[in-house]
Amino acid sequence: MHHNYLDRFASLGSPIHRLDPRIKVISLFAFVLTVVITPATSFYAFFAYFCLIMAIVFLSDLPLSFVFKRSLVIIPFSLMVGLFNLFFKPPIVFINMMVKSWLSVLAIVTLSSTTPFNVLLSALEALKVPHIIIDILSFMYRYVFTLIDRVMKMERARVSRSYGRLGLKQMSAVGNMLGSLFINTYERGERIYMAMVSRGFDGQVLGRTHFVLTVYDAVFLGYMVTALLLIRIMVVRW
Amino acid sequence: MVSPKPPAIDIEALSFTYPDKTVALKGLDLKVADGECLVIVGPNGAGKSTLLLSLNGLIETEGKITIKAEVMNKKNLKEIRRLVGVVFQDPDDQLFMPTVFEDVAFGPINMGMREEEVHARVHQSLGLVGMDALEGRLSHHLSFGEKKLICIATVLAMDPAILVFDEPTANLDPRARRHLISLLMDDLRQTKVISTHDMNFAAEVADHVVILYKSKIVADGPAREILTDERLLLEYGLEMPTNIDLKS
Ligand SMILES: Nc1ncnc2c1ncn2[C@@H]1O[C@H](COP(=O)(O)OP(=O)(O)OP(=O)(O)O)[C@@H](O)[C@H]1O
Ligand SMILES: [Mg+2]
Repeated sequence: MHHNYLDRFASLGSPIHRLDPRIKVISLFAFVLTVVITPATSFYAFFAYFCLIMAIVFLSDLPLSFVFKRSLVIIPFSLMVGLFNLFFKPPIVFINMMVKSWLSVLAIVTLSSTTPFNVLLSALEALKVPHIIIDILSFMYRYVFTLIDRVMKMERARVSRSYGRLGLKQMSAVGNMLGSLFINTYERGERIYMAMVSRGFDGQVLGRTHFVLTVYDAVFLGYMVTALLLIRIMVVRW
Repeated sequence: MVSPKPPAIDIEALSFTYPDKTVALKGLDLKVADGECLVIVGPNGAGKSTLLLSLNGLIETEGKITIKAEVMNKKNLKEIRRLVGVVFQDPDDQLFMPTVFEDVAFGPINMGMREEEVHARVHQSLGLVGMDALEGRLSHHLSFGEKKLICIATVLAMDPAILVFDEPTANLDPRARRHLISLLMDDLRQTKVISTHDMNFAAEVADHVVILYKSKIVADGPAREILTDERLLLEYGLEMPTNIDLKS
Protein backbone atom coordinates (compact mmCIF):
# COMPACT_ATOMS: atom_id res chain seq x y z
CA MET A 1 0.00 0.00 0.00
CA HIS A 2 1.06 3.56 -0.58
CA HIS A 3 0.41 4.23 3.08
CA ASN A 4 3.88 3.23 4.09
CA TYR A 5 5.51 5.48 1.57
CA LEU A 6 6.44 8.27 3.92
CA ASP A 7 8.34 6.35 6.54
CA ARG A 8 8.89 2.91 5.21
CA PHE A 9 12.19 2.29 7.00
CA ALA A 10 11.51 4.48 9.98
CA SER A 11 10.97 1.66 12.43
CA LEU A 12 14.17 -0.34 11.90
CA GLY A 13 16.32 -0.72 15.01
CA SER A 14 19.76 0.52 13.94
CA PRO A 15 22.02 2.66 16.16
CA ILE A 16 20.84 5.71 14.24
CA HIS A 17 17.20 4.79 14.65
CA ARG A 18 17.73 4.48 18.38
CA LEU A 19 19.16 7.97 18.76
CA ASP A 20 17.13 10.56 20.58
CA PRO A 21 15.18 12.31 17.80
CA ARG A 22 16.09 15.72 19.22
CA ILE A 23 19.75 14.90 18.76
CA LYS A 24 19.05 13.90 15.20
CA VAL A 25 17.23 17.14 14.48
CA ILE A 26 20.02 19.21 16.01
CA SER A 27 22.66 17.23 14.11
CA LEU A 28 20.75 17.79 10.89
CA PHE A 29 20.67 21.52 11.45
CA ALA A 30 24.34 21.58 12.35
CA PHE A 31 25.14 19.61 9.22
CA VAL A 32 23.09 21.73 6.86
CA LEU A 33 24.36 24.95 8.38
CA THR A 34 28.00 23.87 8.09
CA VAL A 35 27.52 22.74 4.52
CA VAL A 36 25.88 26.01 3.58
CA ILE A 37 28.64 28.20 5.02
CA THR A 38 31.45 26.22 3.39
CA PRO A 39 33.14 28.16 0.57
CA ALA A 40 32.05 27.09 -2.89
CA THR A 41 35.48 25.91 -4.02
CA SER A 42 36.31 23.57 -1.11
CA PHE A 43 35.60 20.40 -2.98
CA TYR A 44 37.50 18.26 -0.51
CA ALA A 45 35.25 19.53 2.23
CA PHE A 46 32.16 18.62 0.27
CA PHE A 47 33.58 15.20 -0.35
CA ALA A 48 34.21 14.86 3.39
CA TYR A 49 30.64 15.89 4.19
CA PHE A 50 29.46 13.30 1.73
CA CYS A 51 31.57 10.63 3.44
CA LEU A 52 30.20 11.68 6.80
CA ILE A 53 26.61 11.34 5.70
CA MET A 54 27.39 8.02 4.01
CA ALA A 55 28.87 6.73 7.25
CA ILE A 56 25.63 7.57 8.99
CA VAL A 57 23.55 5.96 6.26
CA PHE A 58 25.75 2.88 6.57
CA LEU A 59 25.17 2.76 10.34
CA SER A 60 21.46 3.17 9.87
CA ASP A 61 20.91 0.01 7.76
CA LEU A 62 19.03 2.01 5.15
CA PRO A 63 19.37 0.64 1.62
CA LEU A 64 21.77 2.97 -0.18
CA SER A 65 19.69 2.92 -3.34
CA PHE A 66 16.66 4.05 -1.37
CA VAL A 67 18.48 7.03 0.09
CA PHE A 68 19.85 8.07 -3.28
CA LYS A 69 16.57 7.68 -5.04
CA ARG A 70 14.80 9.69 -2.40
CA SER A 71 17.41 12.42 -2.51
CA LEU A 72 16.88 12.90 -6.24
CA VAL A 73 13.43 14.30 -5.55
CA ILE A 74 14.99 17.67 -4.92
CA ILE A 75 16.99 17.75 -8.16
CA PRO A 76 14.27 19.24 -10.42
CA PHE A 77 13.76 22.10 -7.99
CA SER A 78 17.38 22.97 -7.40
CA LEU A 79 18.07 22.46 -11.09
CA MET A 80 15.44 25.03 -11.96
CA VAL A 81 16.86 27.64 -9.64
CA GLY A 82 20.41 26.65 -10.51
CA LEU A 83 19.98 26.82 -14.28
CA PHE A 84 18.41 30.21 -13.93
CA ASN A 85 21.53 31.34 -12.10
CA LEU A 86 23.72 29.98 -14.86
CA PHE A 87 22.66 32.88 -17.07
CA PHE A 88 23.95 35.54 -14.71
CA LYS A 89 26.70 34.01 -12.62
CA PRO A 90 29.83 31.90 -13.19
CA PRO A 91 29.26 28.13 -13.38
CA ILE A 92 30.80 27.59 -9.95
CA VAL A 93 27.69 29.14 -8.41
CA PHE A 94 25.55 26.59 -10.16
CA ILE A 95 27.74 23.68 -9.10
CA ASN A 96 27.85 25.02 -5.59
CA MET A 97 24.08 25.18 -5.37
CA MET A 98 23.60 21.69 -6.69
CA VAL A 99 26.19 20.18 -4.39
CA LYS A 100 24.96 21.92 -1.28
CA SER A 101 21.31 21.22 -1.88
CA TRP A 102 21.99 17.60 -2.64
CA LEU A 103 24.12 17.12 0.48
CA SER A 104 21.44 18.76 2.60
CA VAL A 105 18.73 16.62 1.11
CA LEU A 106 20.77 13.48 1.69
CA ALA A 107 20.92 14.41 5.36
CA ILE A 108 17.21 15.19 5.51
CA VAL A 109 16.34 11.90 3.84
CA THR A 110 18.51 10.07 6.34
CA LEU A 111 16.78 11.78 9.23
CA SER A 112 13.26 11.27 7.93
CA SER A 113 13.90 7.62 7.06
CA THR A 114 15.29 6.79 10.48
CA THR A 115 12.65 8.57 12.54
CA PRO A 116 8.91 7.92 12.50
CA PHE A 117 7.15 11.14 11.57
CA ASN A 118 5.17 11.39 14.78
CA VAL A 119 8.36 11.00 16.81
CA LEU A 120 9.95 13.71 14.71
CA LEU A 121 7.03 15.98 15.56
CA SER A 122 7.47 15.27 19.25
CA ALA A 123 11.13 16.11 18.90
CA LEU A 124 10.31 19.41 17.24
CA GLU A 125 7.88 20.13 20.03
CA ALA A 126 10.51 19.37 22.63
CA LEU A 127 12.82 21.75 20.76
CA LYS A 128 10.22 24.49 21.20
CA VAL A 129 9.04 24.76 17.61
CA PRO A 130 5.70 26.64 17.78
CA HIS A 131 2.66 24.45 18.42
CA ILE A 132 0.76 25.73 15.45
CA ILE A 133 3.43 24.52 13.04
CA ILE A 134 3.60 21.11 14.67
CA ASP A 135 -0.16 20.77 14.65
CA ILE A 136 -0.33 21.67 10.97
CA LEU A 137 2.36 19.12 10.13
CA SER A 138 0.66 16.55 12.28
CA PHE A 139 -2.71 16.97 10.59
CA MET A 140 -1.07 17.01 7.20
CA TYR A 141 0.66 13.73 7.94
CA ARG A 142 -2.53 12.21 9.27
CA TYR A 143 -4.77 13.28 6.41
CA VAL A 144 -2.59 13.37 3.33
CA PHE A 145 -3.57 9.80 2.43
CA THR A 146 -7.23 10.38 3.10
CA LEU A 147 -6.96 13.26 0.68
CA ILE A 148 -5.09 11.22 -1.92
CA ASP A 149 -7.70 8.48 -1.65
CA ARG A 150 -10.40 11.02 -2.22
CA VAL A 151 -8.67 12.38 -5.31
CA MET A 152 -8.21 8.88 -6.66
CA LYS A 153 -11.89 8.08 -6.15
CA MET A 154 -12.95 11.26 -7.92
CA GLU A 155 -10.56 10.58 -10.76
CA ARG A 156 -11.99 7.09 -11.15
CA ALA A 157 -15.49 8.47 -11.21
CA ARG A 158 -14.48 10.98 -13.87
CA VAL A 159 -12.70 8.43 -16.02
CA SER A 160 -15.58 5.99 -15.83
CA ARG A 161 -17.92 8.59 -17.25
CA SER A 162 -15.65 10.13 -19.85
CA TYR A 163 -14.09 7.08 -21.51
CA GLY A 164 -10.73 8.05 -20.15
CA ARG A 165 -10.11 11.05 -22.35
CA LEU A 166 -8.81 14.22 -20.83
CA GLY A 167 -9.37 16.77 -23.53
CA LEU A 168 -10.05 20.47 -23.34
CA LYS A 169 -13.72 19.77 -22.66
CA GLN A 170 -12.74 17.79 -19.60
CA MET A 171 -11.00 20.75 -18.09
CA SER A 172 -14.21 22.01 -16.57
CA ALA A 173 -14.64 18.60 -14.96
CA VAL A 174 -11.22 18.96 -13.40
CA GLY A 175 -12.19 22.39 -12.14
CA ASN A 176 -15.30 20.96 -10.57
CA MET A 177 -13.26 18.22 -8.99
CA LEU A 178 -10.97 20.77 -7.40
CA GLY A 179 -13.95 22.72 -6.13
CA SER A 180 -15.64 19.73 -4.62
CA LEU A 181 -12.33 18.58 -3.16
CA PHE A 182 -12.02 21.93 -1.47
CA ILE A 183 -15.51 21.73 -0.01
CA ASN A 184 -14.92 18.16 1.05
CA THR A 185 -11.74 19.10 2.83
CA TYR A 186 -13.35 22.08 4.41
CA GLU A 187 -16.24 20.05 5.74
CA ARG A 188 -13.96 17.34 6.98
CA GLY A 189 -12.03 20.01 8.81
CA GLU A 190 -15.22 21.09 10.49
CA ARG A 191 -16.11 17.55 11.49
CA ILE A 192 -12.62 16.93 12.85
CA TYR A 193 -12.86 20.12 14.83
CA MET A 194 -16.14 18.94 16.32
CA ALA A 195 -14.59 15.62 17.24
CA MET A 196 -11.73 17.49 18.91
CA VAL A 197 -13.99 19.85 20.80
CA SER A 198 -16.14 17.01 22.02
CA ARG A 199 -13.07 15.51 23.62
CA GLY A 200 -12.17 18.63 25.50
CA PHE A 201 -9.99 20.48 22.97
CA ASP A 202 -9.67 24.13 23.81
CA GLY A 203 -7.09 25.56 21.48
CA GLN A 204 -3.94 23.57 22.04
CA VAL A 205 -2.98 19.99 21.35
CA LEU A 206 -1.18 19.01 24.51
CA GLY A 207 1.62 16.70 25.50
CA ARG A 208 3.23 14.27 23.15
CA THR A 209 5.98 11.79 23.98
CA HIS A 210 8.79 12.68 26.33
CA PHE A 211 12.40 11.78 25.72
CA VAL A 212 15.32 11.00 27.93
CA LEU A 213 18.83 11.81 26.76
CA THR A 214 21.39 9.06 27.19
CA VAL A 215 25.18 9.11 27.15
CA TYR A 216 25.00 7.46 23.75
CA ASP A 217 23.08 10.45 22.38
CA ALA A 218 25.58 12.89 23.81
CA VAL A 219 28.45 10.91 22.31
CA PHE A 220 26.81 10.92 18.89
CA LEU A 221 26.25 14.65 19.00
CA GLY A 222 29.84 15.12 20.14
CA TYR A 223 31.17 13.09 17.22
CA MET A 224 28.94 14.87 14.80
CA VAL A 225 29.93 18.37 15.88
CA THR A 226 33.62 17.47 16.01
CA ALA A 227 33.51 15.94 12.56
CA LEU A 228 31.76 18.96 11.11
CA LEU A 229 34.15 21.39 12.76
CA LEU A 230 37.16 19.42 11.63
CA ILE A 231 36.00 19.33 8.07
CA ARG A 232 34.99 22.95 8.07
CA ILE A 233 38.29 24.19 9.51
CA MET A 234 40.91 21.72 8.36
CA VAL A 235 39.82 20.63 4.94
CA VAL A 236 38.78 24.06 3.79
CA ARG A 237 42.20 25.49 4.64
CA TRP A 238 43.99 22.61 3.04
CA MET B 1 -44.22 4.11 33.31
CA VAL B 2 -42.28 6.60 35.36
CA SER B 3 -38.74 5.59 36.15
CA PRO B 4 -37.64 6.28 39.72
CA LYS B 5 -34.41 8.00 38.73
CA PRO B 6 -34.41 11.26 36.79
CA PRO B 7 -33.79 10.69 33.08
CA ALA B 8 -30.20 10.74 31.85
CA ILE B 9 -31.22 13.01 29.02
CA ASP B 10 -34.23 15.26 28.93
CA ILE B 11 -34.90 17.26 25.78
CA GLU B 12 -37.65 19.84 25.55
CA ALA B 13 -38.77 21.75 22.48
CA LEU B 14 -35.47 21.28 20.67
CA SER B 15 -35.16 23.00 17.30
CA PHE B 16 -32.29 23.61 14.97
CA THR B 17 -31.89 25.23 11.58
CA TYR B 18 -28.61 25.08 9.65
CA PRO B 19 -27.10 28.40 8.54
CA ASP B 20 -28.29 27.70 4.98
CA LYS B 21 -31.89 27.64 6.33
CA THR B 22 -32.27 23.86 6.20
CA VAL B 23 -34.53 22.93 9.08
CA ALA B 24 -33.02 19.88 10.73
CA LEU B 25 -34.89 19.60 14.06
CA LYS B 26 -38.36 20.89 14.78
CA GLY B 27 -39.63 20.99 18.36
CA LEU B 28 -38.39 17.66 19.69
CA ASP B 29 -39.32 16.36 23.12
CA LEU B 30 -37.49 13.29 24.31
CA LYS B 31 -36.53 11.57 27.56
CA VAL B 32 -33.84 8.92 27.81
CA ALA B 33 -33.93 6.91 31.02
CA ASP B 34 -30.76 6.25 32.95
CA GLY B 35 -28.99 3.12 31.74
CA GLU B 36 -31.22 2.43 28.76
CA CYS B 37 -30.28 2.06 25.14
CA LEU B 38 -32.20 4.41 22.88
CA VAL B 39 -32.09 3.78 19.16
CA ILE B 40 -33.06 6.51 16.74
CA VAL B 41 -34.21 5.38 13.32
CA GLY B 42 -35.48 7.37 10.36
CA PRO B 43 -34.77 7.93 6.69
CA ASN B 44 -31.78 9.83 5.30
CA GLY B 45 -31.87 13.49 6.12
CA ALA B 46 -34.37 13.05 8.94
CA GLY B 47 -32.10 14.87 11.37
CA LYS B 48 -30.57 11.99 13.33
CA SER B 49 -26.97 13.15 13.11
CA THR B 50 -27.99 16.69 13.93
CA LEU B 51 -29.81 15.52 17.04
CA LEU B 52 -26.73 13.62 18.18
CA LEU B 53 -24.52 16.67 17.70
CA SER B 54 -26.85 18.70 19.86
CA LEU B 55 -26.36 16.27 22.75
CA ASN B 56 -22.76 17.37 22.95
CA GLY B 57 -23.40 21.05 22.54
CA LEU B 58 -21.65 21.03 19.18
CA ILE B 59 -24.38 23.09 17.54
CA GLU B 60 -26.34 26.00 18.92
CA THR B 61 -29.91 24.80 19.27
CA GLU B 62 -33.09 26.34 20.54
CA GLY B 63 -34.88 24.60 23.38
CA LYS B 64 -33.70 22.95 26.53
CA ILE B 65 -31.36 19.99 26.94
CA THR B 66 -30.82 18.52 30.40
CA ILE B 67 -28.04 15.99 30.85
CA LYS B 68 -27.87 14.23 34.22
CA ALA B 69 -29.87 17.00 35.87
CA GLU B 70 -27.64 19.71 34.40
CA VAL B 71 -29.25 22.14 32.00
CA MET B 72 -26.87 22.65 29.10
CA ASN B 73 -25.63 26.19 28.68
CA LYS B 74 -22.53 27.89 27.33
CA LYS B 75 -20.75 27.68 30.67
CA ASN B 76 -21.02 24.00 31.43
CA LEU B 77 -20.24 22.70 27.95
CA LYS B 78 -16.95 21.23 29.07
CA GLU B 79 -18.64 19.30 31.83
CA ILE B 80 -21.42 18.17 29.46
CA ARG B 81 -18.88 16.94 26.92
CA ARG B 82 -17.24 14.91 29.62
CA LEU B 83 -20.55 13.30 30.47
CA VAL B 84 -21.51 12.62 26.86
CA GLY B 85 -19.09 10.83 24.56
CA VAL B 86 -19.86 10.88 20.85
CA VAL B 87 -18.62 8.28 18.38
CA PHE B 88 -18.94 9.94 15.00
CA GLN B 89 -19.89 8.14 11.83
CA ASP B 90 -16.61 8.47 9.96
CA PRO B 91 -13.67 7.22 12.03
CA ASP B 92 -11.31 9.32 9.93
CA ASP B 93 -12.89 12.40 11.48
CA GLN B 94 -12.35 11.13 14.97
CA LEU B 95 -8.85 9.71 14.76
CA PHE B 96 -6.95 12.87 14.04
CA MET B 97 -3.68 12.23 15.85
CA PRO B 98 -0.81 10.38 14.16
CA THR B 99 -0.81 7.34 16.46
CA VAL B 100 -3.49 5.32 18.18
CA PHE B 101 -2.00 6.03 21.58
CA GLU B 102 -1.98 9.79 21.07
CA ASP B 103 -5.54 9.64 19.86
CA VAL B 104 -6.89 7.74 22.82
CA ALA B 105 -4.83 9.90 25.17
CA PHE B 106 -6.18 13.12 23.64
CA GLY B 107 -9.30 13.31 25.81
CA PRO B 108 -7.67 12.34 29.12
CA ILE B 109 -4.83 14.82 28.53
CA ASN B 110 -7.32 17.60 27.86
CA MET B 111 -9.07 16.64 31.06
CA GLY B 112 -5.85 17.48 32.83
CA MET B 113 -4.92 13.99 34.00
CA ARG B 114 -1.45 13.08 35.15
CA GLU B 115 0.74 11.05 32.85
CA GLU B 116 0.40 7.69 34.63
CA GLU B 117 -3.32 8.17 34.79
CA VAL B 118 -3.45 8.91 31.07
CA HIS B 119 -1.52 5.72 30.34
CA ALA B 120 -3.83 3.71 32.57
CA ARG B 121 -6.90 5.12 30.84
CA VAL B 122 -5.50 4.40 27.40
CA HIS B 123 -4.67 0.78 28.26
CA GLN B 124 -7.98 0.24 29.92
CA SER B 125 -10.14 1.59 27.15
CA LEU B 126 -8.17 -0.05 24.35
CA GLY B 127 -8.38 -3.28 26.32
CA LEU B 128 -12.12 -2.96 26.64
CA VAL B 129 -12.59 -2.82 22.87
CA GLY B 130 -9.97 -5.53 22.35
CA MET B 131 -7.49 -3.31 20.54
CA ASP B 132 -4.65 -3.11 23.07
CA ALA B 133 -2.22 -4.59 20.58
CA LEU B 134 -2.58 -1.58 18.28
CA GLU B 135 -1.50 1.08 20.74
CA GLY B 136 1.65 2.11 18.92
CA ARG B 137 0.22 1.93 15.42
CA LEU B 138 -0.40 4.82 13.08
CA SER B 139 -4.09 5.60 12.73
CA HIS B 140 -4.11 5.81 8.95
CA HIS B 141 -2.75 2.28 8.58
CA LEU B 142 -5.68 0.63 10.32
CA SER B 143 -8.63 -1.20 8.82
CA PHE B 144 -12.04 0.40 8.97
CA GLY B 145 -13.27 -1.96 11.68
CA GLU B 146 -10.19 -1.35 13.80
CA LYS B 147 -10.58 2.39 13.39
CA LYS B 148 -14.18 2.17 14.52
CA LEU B 149 -13.27 0.29 17.69
CA ILE B 150 -10.48 2.72 18.44
CA CYS B 151 -12.91 5.61 18.03
CA ILE B 152 -15.00 3.97 20.71
CA ALA B 153 -11.89 3.66 22.89
CA THR B 154 -11.08 7.35 22.45
CA VAL B 155 -14.48 8.14 23.86
CA LEU B 156 -14.39 5.52 26.62
CA ALA B 157 -11.07 6.96 27.80
CA MET B 158 -12.98 10.00 29.01
CA ASP B 159 -15.25 7.78 31.09
CA PRO B 160 -18.54 9.32 29.94
CA ALA B 161 -21.87 8.47 31.55
CA ILE B 162 -23.67 8.60 28.22
CA LEU B 163 -22.43 7.12 24.96
CA VAL B 164 -23.66 8.42 21.63
CA PHE B 165 -23.10 6.56 18.36
CA ASP B 166 -23.90 7.75 14.86
CA GLU B 167 -24.54 4.77 12.60
CA PRO B 168 -22.02 2.53 14.31
CA THR B 169 -22.62 -0.51 12.08
CA ALA B 170 -22.25 1.31 8.77
CA ASN B 171 -19.49 -0.26 6.63
CA LEU B 172 -18.62 -2.94 9.18
CA ASP B 173 -18.20 -6.51 8.00
CA PRO B 174 -20.39 -9.13 9.70
CA ARG B 175 -17.76 -10.16 12.21
CA ALA B 176 -16.92 -6.60 13.22
CA ARG B 177 -20.63 -5.90 13.47
CA ARG B 178 -21.14 -8.84 15.83
CA HIS B 179 -18.16 -7.72 17.89
CA LEU B 180 -19.69 -4.28 18.19
CA ILE B 181 -23.05 -5.68 19.25
CA SER B 182 -21.54 -7.83 21.96
CA LEU B 183 -19.48 -4.87 23.12
CA LEU B 184 -22.57 -2.70 23.36
CA MET B 185 -24.66 -5.37 25.05
CA ASP B 186 -22.16 -6.88 27.47
CA ASP B 187 -19.41 -4.39 28.22
CA LEU B 188 -20.76 -0.90 27.94
CA ARG B 189 -23.19 -0.34 30.77
CA GLN B 190 -23.60 3.39 30.15
CA THR B 191 -26.74 5.04 28.88
CA LYS B 192 -26.60 4.80 25.10
CA VAL B 193 -28.09 6.80 22.26
CA ILE B 194 -27.57 5.25 18.84
CA SER B 195 -28.72 6.30 15.40
CA THR B 196 -28.89 3.62 12.74
CA HIS B 197 -30.40 2.39 9.48
CA ASP B 198 -29.66 -1.20 10.48
CA MET B 199 -33.03 -2.40 11.73
CA ASN B 200 -31.80 -5.81 12.84
CA PHE B 201 -29.10 -4.14 14.86
CA ALA B 202 -31.73 -1.88 16.40
CA ALA B 203 -33.79 -4.91 17.34
CA GLU B 204 -30.82 -6.48 19.07
CA VAL B 205 -29.64 -3.57 21.16
CA ALA B 206 -32.58 -1.23 21.70
CA ASP B 207 -34.66 -0.84 24.84
CA HIS B 208 -36.32 2.28 23.55
CA VAL B 209 -36.90 3.39 19.96
CA VAL B 210 -37.65 6.75 18.44
CA ILE B 211 -38.58 7.36 14.81
CA LEU B 212 -37.35 10.66 13.47
CA TYR B 213 -39.02 11.77 10.27
CA LYS B 214 -38.63 15.12 8.52
CA SER B 215 -37.08 16.76 11.59
CA LYS B 216 -39.78 15.54 13.98
CA ILE B 217 -40.27 12.67 16.37
CA VAL B 218 -43.17 10.69 14.97
CA ALA B 219 -43.00 7.65 17.24
CA ASP B 220 -41.48 7.09 20.67
CA GLY B 221 -41.86 3.94 22.73
CA PRO B 222 -40.45 0.63 23.94
CA ALA B 223 -38.39 -1.15 21.30
CA ARG B 224 -40.69 -4.17 21.02
CA GLU B 225 -43.73 -2.04 20.49
CA ILE B 226 -42.28 0.10 17.72
CA LEU B 227 -40.16 -2.46 15.93
CA THR B 228 -43.08 -4.88 15.59
CA ASP B 229 -45.47 -2.29 14.23
CA GLU B 230 -45.01 -2.95 10.54
CA ARG B 231 -47.51 -0.37 9.38
CA LEU B 232 -45.87 2.36 11.37
CA LEU B 233 -42.41 1.45 10.12
CA LEU B 234 -43.47 1.27 6.49
CA GLU B 235 -45.26 4.58 6.76
CA TYR B 236 -41.97 6.28 7.55
CA GLY B 237 -39.95 4.48 4.94
CA LEU B 238 -38.47 1.89 7.27
CA GLU B 239 -38.59 -1.89 7.37
CA MET B 240 -39.39 -4.36 10.06
CA PRO B 241 -36.36 -6.12 11.50
CA THR B 242 -36.17 -9.74 10.38
CA ASN B 243 -34.81 -10.92 13.70
CA ILE B 244 -37.39 -9.34 15.94
CA ASP B 245 -38.10 -12.39 18.08
CA LEU B 246 -34.43 -12.82 18.92
CA LYS B 247 -34.63 -10.32 21.74
CA SER B 248 -36.97 -11.36 24.48
N1 LIG C 1 -23.69 21.15 7.54
C1 LIG C 1 -24.94 21.24 7.06
N2 LIG C 1 -25.37 22.36 6.47
C2 LIG C 1 -26.62 22.45 5.98
N3 LIG C 1 -27.53 21.48 6.05
C3 LIG C 1 -27.19 20.33 6.63
C4 LIG C 1 -25.87 20.14 7.16
N4 LIG C 1 -25.81 18.90 7.68
C5 LIG C 1 -27.01 18.34 7.48
N5 LIG C 1 -27.86 19.20 6.85
C6 LIG C 1 -29.27 18.95 6.49
O1 LIG C 1 -30.00 18.77 7.67
C7 LIG C 1 -30.95 17.74 7.52
C8 LIG C 1 -30.71 16.67 8.56
O2 LIG C 1 -29.45 16.06 8.33
P1 LIG C 1 -28.84 14.91 9.21
O3 LIG C 1 -27.46 14.71 8.76
O4 LIG C 1 -29.07 15.22 10.63
O5 LIG C 1 -29.76 13.67 8.78
P2 LIG C 1 -29.59 12.15 9.16
O6 LIG C 1 -30.89 11.71 9.70
O7 LIG C 1 -28.41 11.94 9.99
O8 LIG C 1 -29.39 11.50 7.74
P3 LIG C 1 -28.52 10.21 7.34
O9 LIG C 1 -29.34 9.04 7.71
O10 LIG C 1 -28.41 10.34 5.86
O11 LIG C 1 -27.23 10.28 8.04
C9 LIG C 1 -30.80 17.25 6.09
O12 LIG C 1 -31.78 17.87 5.31
C10 LIG C 1 -29.44 17.70 5.68
O13 LIG C 1 -29.39 17.96 4.31
MG1 LIG D 1 -26.54 10.97 9.72
